[in-house]
Amino acid sequence: MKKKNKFLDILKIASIETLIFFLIMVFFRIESTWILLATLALIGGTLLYTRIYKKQTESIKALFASNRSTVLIVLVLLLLLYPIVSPIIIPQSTYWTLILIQTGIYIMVALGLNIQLGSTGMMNLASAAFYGVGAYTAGMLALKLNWPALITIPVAGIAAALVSLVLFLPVYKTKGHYLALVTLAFGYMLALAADNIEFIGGPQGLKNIPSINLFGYDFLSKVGNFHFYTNYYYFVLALVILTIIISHRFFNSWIGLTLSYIRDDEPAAKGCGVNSNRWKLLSLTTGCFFMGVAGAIYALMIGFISPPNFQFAQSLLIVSIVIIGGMDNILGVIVGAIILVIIPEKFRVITQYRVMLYGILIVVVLLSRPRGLIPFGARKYEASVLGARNGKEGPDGNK
Amino acid sequence: MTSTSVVFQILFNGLMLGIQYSLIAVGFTLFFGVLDVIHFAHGDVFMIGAFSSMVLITLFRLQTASGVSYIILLILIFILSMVLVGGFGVLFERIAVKPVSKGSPVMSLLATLGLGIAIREAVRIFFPRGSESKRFPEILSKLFSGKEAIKLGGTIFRFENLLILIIGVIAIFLLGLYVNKTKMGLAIRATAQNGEVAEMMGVNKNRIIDITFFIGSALAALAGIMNGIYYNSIIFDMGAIAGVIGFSAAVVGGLGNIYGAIAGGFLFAFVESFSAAFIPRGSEFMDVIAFAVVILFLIFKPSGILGEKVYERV
Amino acid sequence: METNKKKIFYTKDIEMRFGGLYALSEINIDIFEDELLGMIGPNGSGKTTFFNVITGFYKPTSGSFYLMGEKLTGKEPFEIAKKGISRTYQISRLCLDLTVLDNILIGTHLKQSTGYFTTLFNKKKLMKEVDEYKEKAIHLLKIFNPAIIERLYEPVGGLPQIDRRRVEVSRAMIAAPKIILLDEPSAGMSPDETEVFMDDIRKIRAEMTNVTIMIIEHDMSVISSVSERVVALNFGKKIAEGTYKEVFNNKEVRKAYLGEEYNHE
Repeated sequence: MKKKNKFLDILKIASIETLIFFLIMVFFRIESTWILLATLALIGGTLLYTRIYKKQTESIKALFASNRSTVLIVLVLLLLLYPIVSPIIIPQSTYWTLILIQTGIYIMVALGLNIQLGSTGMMNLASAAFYGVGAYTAGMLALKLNWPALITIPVAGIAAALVSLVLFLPVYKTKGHYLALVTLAFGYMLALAADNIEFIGGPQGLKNIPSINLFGYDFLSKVGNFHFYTNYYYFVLALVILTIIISHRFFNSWIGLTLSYIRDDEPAAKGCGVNSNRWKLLSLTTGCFFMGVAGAIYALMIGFISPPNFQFAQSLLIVSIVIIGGMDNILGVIVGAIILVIIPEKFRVITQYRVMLYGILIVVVLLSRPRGLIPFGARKYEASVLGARNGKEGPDGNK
Repeated sequence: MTSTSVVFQILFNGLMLGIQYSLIAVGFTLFFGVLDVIHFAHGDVFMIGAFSSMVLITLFRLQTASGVSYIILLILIFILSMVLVGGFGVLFERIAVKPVSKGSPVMSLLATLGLGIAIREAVRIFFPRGSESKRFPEILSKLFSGKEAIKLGGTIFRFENLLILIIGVIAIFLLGLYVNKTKMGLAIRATAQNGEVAEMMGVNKNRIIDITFFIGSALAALAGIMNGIYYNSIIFDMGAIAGVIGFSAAVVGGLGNIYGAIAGGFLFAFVESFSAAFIPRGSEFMDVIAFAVVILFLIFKPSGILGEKVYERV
Repeated sequence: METNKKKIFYTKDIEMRFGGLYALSEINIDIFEDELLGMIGPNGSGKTTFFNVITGFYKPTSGSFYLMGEKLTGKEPFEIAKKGISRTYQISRLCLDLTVLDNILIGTHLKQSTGYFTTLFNKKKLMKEVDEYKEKAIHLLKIFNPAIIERLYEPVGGLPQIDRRRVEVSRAMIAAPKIILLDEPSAGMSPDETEVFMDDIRKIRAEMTNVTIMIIEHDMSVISSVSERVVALNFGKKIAEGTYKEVFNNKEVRKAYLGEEYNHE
């Protein structure tokens, strides 16, 4: 009997997720503004429905919460199927695949910032600059030295981490608002440097960066009938999943605990023996490593990078993703990226208002939900992203 | 041009710029003192000052007036701009600054960053041809019809620039008087030192905060007008970099310290002025140089030139 | 006062000056192993300042202090914590948004052996350590109030004041220090809660053998019922030392608390 119930649950979850999956693809497909607005109205209506019919909503929520491994496995399956299914439904599927890849890359950068800002409370307004360090490092190594991607990507991450170490070492002890000013300066200076150093391309940037080539297989080659970004889609998906797992492990460990304590009450942390300065540096360099890796992937995929890619505007986007989505919360960051990257792409009509809306959105979110749309939850020291441990839920199998 | 005249020119540039940066920096430092907030939209308030004065000039047809009515209109526009923008400042404070002030200064920094962006973009989008720079009308030259400038040691000092300099200095002087000698000023200083105790002593903290933001914003507006007159051109994002330099100046001078903010403002102005003159393409790198100065200060003297008034309690 | 207990901590002429104000001067205090030392004194007499100095939050303007013969003056708070001094704070310093468990587990920081790379690659080891320390935390909470255990994963800000104190004390205890400093732990408690809390202190004593506790208190009933020895401060100077009775009857102490007119037997 129990097995049958479990099977029914899995079926329910899978069907709900698949339904949403198809709706999203339809959303991508719709061009007409009016239908788009109608879609928004539909979403609004659904949200209203959940407010009114609380019981049903609660039961669905509970269903998802208690079967987290199922939810995630189905999700990954759907994401794997996406490049295969989407061309059937969406005529412009190439474009949307690229958008999804870009979102994935931004999620990686944002997860890096999340360690610095969300977990440790350190403001870094230069995430695009460190992303840029990774991009340029990989670009130069691939272009000038023909190094293989498997090496340039981690090296790019390390380069970003080292640059961050050099830059932050003199200043990381300063208080939060000063750090913001200092990182603002760093970002500005690094962008200016990229613009002025002819060796790395100057204002023209780097062109014709060779794409990832694994044992002779060029990642940009077409797979059957699917378009040429498909390989990158799977590559980035795999890396995003890896980044999520790493972030999850950090959160559910002594590292996450210590960083949170430094964020919320540094003197008390010091009183418990925490060498907060060392941990702050650790947090900064780790976050910048993520950013560098993401930048490297971007450079290798697009093949062309230039200073305008790495300005304060992009840093601001990443900061917004973390603040609006949810500080110190992996799901929050992902949601934030979806809201701030994918949705504006659809509503092209508001492109000119986009930056202004970001500004307003930041203010609104900070006023109403200072910790973001999905703030961090209780640290349960879960062993796995899938949520279960030893086959049971929760750390001690009881809660 | 002789070398002394070059130096004079640079010094004068520094003074003109310095008075503007100081007026902005003072706002930053007051806001931090009174509410523990970093008001990253303050630079954009400076921009609104420039734009609203330009609008008023056109509205009141200042340029077609003459004689006594011209002078009256001129003064009216100055005052009206400052009051208007002061009001905006209070509005912004009520909407987006005070509500987030209970958290850490980082929160207010982010919120005001967003606010600043929204303001900037709103001007760019909704002001007619907002993304282009606008010519700020020459409004003071009429006062000096005939003799426009004096020549001192080979350098030309335009009267209208001297006039703005004097206005700016008077403004700062009046601010100093207000803060140090009046009852309201005392209330502001008390709130800046310890808001809770000040409240217990009968100070209406909310009113003080409103007043502080009004004054700070009005001063920024004055700086905006000065900027328009001096450079003859304004643009929607002029507040972004001015804000950052103003904040840096306040930080270097010690957040919460008015004299420090003034000192910081002039420091940055002179650094800018000298580097623009002596370093090739210096004016482009000015911002970077300013930043480098801030970082050096933060490394070696984190509490600023004159010291930030913060005591960490355990 | 003679005692055959080992002296584990002492200060030498500690002076703490803030501008013209001498918050502490000529402070010479000895602390012995396995004792419960009380510190009393009127408001502003320098008690919390003393705690702040010996935990490294303030660097004394002159003088020094030693733990187990090792000079600790000038060390950072985290270094002093490492040497074996834990504390609670006059106004509870807990991270209210973090869970009860988190707030206690941070106390195990110095004993955690799972580092950066182990967290990434050796999940099992980390989980084992987490479980081990979680058991310890639960064990401590059981002593005070088992009801808290049901709220282990809730934000600590939702707990009543007295339970929050207990969490803070557990955080200090779980570090297994040589000396625990409690700064006015009964502050903000009603008389009933204070009664219960005095019981808590006795339970701490029973649980942590060979650990010294030093407690700052305003509530004389707490001091009289739990302290073995008492030291009194006034205006930054030590004015009396001895058993509670001796200190309570000391002229200087009475003068400090009650004023000149009441200085009679």
